[in-house]
Amino acid sequence: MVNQSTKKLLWLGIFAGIAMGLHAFENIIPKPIPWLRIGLSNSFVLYILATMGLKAGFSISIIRTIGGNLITGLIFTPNFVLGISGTLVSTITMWLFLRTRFFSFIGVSIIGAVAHNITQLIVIRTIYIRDSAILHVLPYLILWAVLTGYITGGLANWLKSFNFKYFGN
Amino acid sequence: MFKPNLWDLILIIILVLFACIKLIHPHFANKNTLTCVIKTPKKTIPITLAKDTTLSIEGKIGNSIVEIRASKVRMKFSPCPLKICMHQGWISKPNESIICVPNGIIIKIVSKKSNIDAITW
Repeated sequence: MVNQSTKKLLWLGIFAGIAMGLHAFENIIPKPIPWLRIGLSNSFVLYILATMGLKAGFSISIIRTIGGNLITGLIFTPNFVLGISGTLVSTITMWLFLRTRFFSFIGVSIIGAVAHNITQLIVIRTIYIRDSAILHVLPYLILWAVLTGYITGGLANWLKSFNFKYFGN
Repeated sequence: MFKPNLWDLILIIILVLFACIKLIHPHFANKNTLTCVIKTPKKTIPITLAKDTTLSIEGKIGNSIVEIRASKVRMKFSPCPLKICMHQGWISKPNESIICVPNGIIIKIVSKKSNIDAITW
């Protein structure tokens, strides 16, 4: 018999693997600005935040950032730095807004995407482009975040419709 | 799968409105905060657009005449062969410019808030 924590660990492992694969795959999709990706793996983070709690969600987001960048050979590049900082802030924000129970998955996903993009912008301003001019792309980033957050939220809804059973038989 | 809540729609509308206002905002700049900067090979002259004036600017091949009227600027006359700068017409918004390459004269409109020309990677 497999006990509950092992079962939970197995599910986390599968989701982490899929999220890592999605993160690596998104590097191929053409993007208007280099580090502006469609955050499809954020749907997994959101789903696990909603069903398994904050620690599990954190583990998924950190593992998929490190693992996804390790696979495609982009670790310690700007991709990685922006990814880590963005996902940390985004995960905490999504968990906080999930607790208030006002927004559905789509709203929380949009909030997470906006938080992710704003954090990336601040990191870019501090480390890479030390000029205040870069902050003027903020409106475009917000519009892009609303769009991709909507898509990612829909993906999280789709995941929820499967009714995975972590506990029990 | 893609059904938003009421609160989600409110959030989306607020964010999109905020982004659009930020984008359109510079176009409604108060005319008194704009200055026109004329750069010659020798010096840089900032001028306000509030007064109607006509200036004669010294360039590499001769004198160009710049006219300011009704908060707009144009290159009235220039000794360059192709007269491209004269065909530009009037400029009045920030980040617009008239450039005469043979004479080495650049007329730019600059707003006091930000001085960005371009963002490159």
